[in-house]
Amino acid sequence: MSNVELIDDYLTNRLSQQDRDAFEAQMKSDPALKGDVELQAQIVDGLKKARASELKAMLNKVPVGGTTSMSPLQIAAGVVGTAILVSSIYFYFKPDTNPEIPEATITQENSSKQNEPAEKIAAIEEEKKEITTNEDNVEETTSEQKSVAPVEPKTAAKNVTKPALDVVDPSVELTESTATRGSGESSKPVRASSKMEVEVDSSNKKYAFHYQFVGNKMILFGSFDKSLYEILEINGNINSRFLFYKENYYLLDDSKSEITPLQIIQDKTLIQKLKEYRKK
Amino acid sequence: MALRVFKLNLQMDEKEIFDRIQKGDEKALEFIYKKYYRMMTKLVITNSGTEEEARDVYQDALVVFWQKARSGNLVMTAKISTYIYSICQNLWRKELDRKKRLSHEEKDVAQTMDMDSPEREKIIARCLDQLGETCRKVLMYYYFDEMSMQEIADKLGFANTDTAKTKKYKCKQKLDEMVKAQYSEHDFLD
Repeated sequence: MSNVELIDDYLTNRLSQQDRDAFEAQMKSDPALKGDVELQAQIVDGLKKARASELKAMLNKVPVGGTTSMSPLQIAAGVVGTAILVSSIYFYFKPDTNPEIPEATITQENSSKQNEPAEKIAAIEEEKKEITTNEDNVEETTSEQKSVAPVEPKTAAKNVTKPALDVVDPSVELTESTATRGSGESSKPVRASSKMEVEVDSSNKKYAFHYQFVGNKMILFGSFDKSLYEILEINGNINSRFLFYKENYYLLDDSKSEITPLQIIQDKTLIQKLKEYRKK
Repeated sequence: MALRVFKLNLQMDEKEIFDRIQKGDEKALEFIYKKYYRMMTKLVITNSGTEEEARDVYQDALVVFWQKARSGNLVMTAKISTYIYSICQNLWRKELDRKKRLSHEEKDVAQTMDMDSPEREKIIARCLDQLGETCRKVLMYYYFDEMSMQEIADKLGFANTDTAKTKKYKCKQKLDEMVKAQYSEHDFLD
């Protein structure tokens, strides 16, 4: 084995313990070899660093969902906060107008979003108090505070039972999704898990790229374990399921109880829609 | 109409993910990255780190995990997430220590460091950039991912292991020459 190869194997841990010891002993008695190893170690280190940053750059391109942005709860809190702020300013500048309509909006918003963090409420309350002190027409603002008041203890109680109202707490997402569904006014897609089971049968030679629904279970025939795949379920007026595999979308018709070949979706608008859903 | 989207990444159990990573499947690494992103970044964010630092630590941890898994010396006795979590913890602790030291000792530490090494690193990085895509890949796979010649041949579509071997030898020779030439220009060779 030449020196170059030996150094290489030494630096990449490809030497046996015995050879390693021998090589280290040789290095001690040979300063030129030691110098070579040091230079090579620097080059190998540079290569490793380059590869590590390449992998990091690759990961940086992976979409990680809404983790970096605000959670729906934060957005809701923000919306309520802004609504109250806007109406406060409204009261401040127009003390003589009838406040009934904006007031009603505030109460409704508040009661429908009870999960709002306590700090936010506190901040809003403070804001309002400030306005109250500046306000000549005290009557109207007191009535507004009254209308918010019954909500306050409820929110506090919620926060006692759930102190860690965290952005990443999955239970918050669940509560939020039920709330959205209950109100029936939001068309925002919500992520949740499905009860559908999926099985892969890669041993079947006759069916290389097929699927079949058996009750609540779907069987995929083909070598699916070789690449990642995703099932998209869109539950609306019509429940539809799609398979995303190797950058293509396929329709999964759950009325098909027999083994059906997977058909690639060609419809560009549908593909665009599915792409959007996948990103969420 | 209320639309609800259910999204599932199915049938990727722990063993399968780990097997794929061991085989050098980058898609599996991306899958893990996405899966545990919240969990891992939360660790840093709730411990006085920024979102950016959290992402950086998590990515570094995955690179460590990748290399360990690739080397074949890693036997998974716990869940992958537990393992990555502990790497994140260690990396973040180290980073916090480093920050603390920097604020206490200011520039004392920096001055005792070998001033040549960042310059050397830059030279090597520059040489690598000039090396060409295939050469760089062959060398990175060999030295970082510790791939066998067979794996390199498969991954880069070479005819056989001999082609991979020759490529690796020639590319390394070329890189060595480039680095040496640059080093002597900067008087780094003594």
